[in-house]
Amino acid sequence: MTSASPPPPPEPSADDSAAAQELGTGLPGIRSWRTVYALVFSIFVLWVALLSWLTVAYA
Amino acid sequence: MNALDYLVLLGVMLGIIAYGLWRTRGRRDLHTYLKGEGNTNWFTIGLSVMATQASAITFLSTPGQGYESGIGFVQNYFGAPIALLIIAAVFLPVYRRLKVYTAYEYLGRRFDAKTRLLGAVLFLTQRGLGAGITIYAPAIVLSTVTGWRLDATILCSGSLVVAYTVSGGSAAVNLTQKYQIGVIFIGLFAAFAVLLMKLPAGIGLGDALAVAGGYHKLQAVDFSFDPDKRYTFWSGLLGGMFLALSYFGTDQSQVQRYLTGSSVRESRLGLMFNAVFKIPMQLFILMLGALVFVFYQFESPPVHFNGPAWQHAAQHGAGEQLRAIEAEFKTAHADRQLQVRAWVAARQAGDTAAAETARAAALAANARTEKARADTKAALTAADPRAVTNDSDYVFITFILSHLPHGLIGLLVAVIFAATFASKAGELNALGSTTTVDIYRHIVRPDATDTECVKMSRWFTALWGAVAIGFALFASLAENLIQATNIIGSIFYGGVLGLFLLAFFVRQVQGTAAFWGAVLAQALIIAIYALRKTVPILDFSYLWYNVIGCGVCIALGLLIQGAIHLRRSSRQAGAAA
Repeated sequence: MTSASPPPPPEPSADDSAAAQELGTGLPGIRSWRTVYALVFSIFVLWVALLSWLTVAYA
Repeated sequence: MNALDYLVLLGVMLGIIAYGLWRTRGRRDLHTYLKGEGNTNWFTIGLSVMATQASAITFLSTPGQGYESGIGFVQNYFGAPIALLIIAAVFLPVYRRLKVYTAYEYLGRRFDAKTRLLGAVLFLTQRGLGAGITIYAPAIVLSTVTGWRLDATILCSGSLVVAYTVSGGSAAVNLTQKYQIGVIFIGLFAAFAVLLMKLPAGIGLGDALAVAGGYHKLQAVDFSFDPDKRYTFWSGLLGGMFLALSYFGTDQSQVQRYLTGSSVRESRLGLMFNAVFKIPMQLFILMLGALVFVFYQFESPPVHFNGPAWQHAAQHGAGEQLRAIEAEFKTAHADRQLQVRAWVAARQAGDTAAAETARAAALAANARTEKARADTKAALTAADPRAVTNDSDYVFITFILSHLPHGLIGLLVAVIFAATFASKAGELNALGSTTTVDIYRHIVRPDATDTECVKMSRWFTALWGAVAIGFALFASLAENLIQATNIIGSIFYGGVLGLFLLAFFVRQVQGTAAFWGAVLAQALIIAIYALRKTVPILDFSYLWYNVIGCGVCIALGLLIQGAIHLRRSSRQAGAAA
């Protein structure tokens, strides 16, 4: 049984690398901007939770 | 301030400016003058965005707010992270793709020339009105407490910031802002450390927080729906989000900062940096104020933090009354000091009942000191009805000058100037760019070359600088300074944000409908502000102006577009018949 070898990936053009640079986050372990936004939003929620705790703890 | 303080102050300020100018020398074409080299990284953008917003008012007024009312003002910034996420995901890629110099250029491409002009004029009006505040605010406070001449302080600081902004353009502004915000953070952390070290022996951060909490200074979040409260979670989240969306997304002083990025990625990360650090930064500054309040539970505070105003009134007929109030204040403070020490000792010993009794006694003594402070303000007003009696802007600078070691005083005064320069430079840079790109090149001289535009941009920047210095020289402010700045912003931002939201999200609305929607929304907000004292229902938190202005602009834009569409349809039907 033979299997067809996959076609070689196209050579990246200058346009492609520029687009990739624009689209990629460049952050280690985080590939999509949606993940970055979710992370930032989670930090915001954490701050609100911390401040709510501060309000109650020192009431 | 002694020679060492002046050496630190001048060394830091002039050093940063000289370095910024040297690094950005020889910028001649329009693109580099307005947008820098286009190679700015995310960290510089993040600090630059932060520095543009954090004016000297932030570092004088915000600790004063923490001292007087506690840290609840932090809720004002709850909307900022969400707004920055929206801007990074939606606004930024469009600005970058269209390669605009100003945010209002985008309105011209999406709508028409008159809407672009409206956006630019609203920005110039709003920034022009607030132009003097960022120079005046630190100058009045510094000149009052140091004895420097007010006009000389305004002229020196104003001229210096105008000179390097005109000379170096956007790149110099970004670069100097990076180091200025660095100085600001170093200064604030140093002040925080000294504050903790100056607390009485045996009293640590935990005790200080407990005392601040006992005086209700740590009420950070209020989930109530009471519209009379100026800062709640909801007004901060919704009103604050609209304010931040307008400010970061449509105000050229901010848009210009992140358009200097080398890619969408760098600009986005710069915005995310602010989304993450904006709340902790404001919290830290407010906490500094709350801890200064705790510090003055153990040290003797002045009865009125604007000492020269007190002395002026004392020398002009109110001396006897003011000294009697001061004596009562000192007696009440001595009692409060005893009770607070007993409270902390009982707390440390784990005696809850004794701690609660001492706390109640401390609160009662504190009420007496507050009454004495209120009586002082009444006496100052009686002596001179024009006297500005709000002394909260003087709290932090009084602490700096009275309790920090020499050298550090110079550094903290440098913090105030660094913040003035950083925010003013960003504003002037944006005012010059908008006047050049959206007025001069768009309307006056459409065929102007880049060289002419750079030359005109320098002139316009200098002109706006002169306007700002002029306003500052003749200004007189009655309210808390940071609130005055936010109120001016809120009056104008709602309508402009409505325009941009229509442009980004409502494809069917065209130029004429958007234009009239924004004009009518702006007129409504100005009417609400003007009538707020005579019509009680209109006297609500200014943060809601952003929401109302934006909502009315969008609703009217849709209605007017619907009416235009109906009229066209009926005309076409008539023509066909």
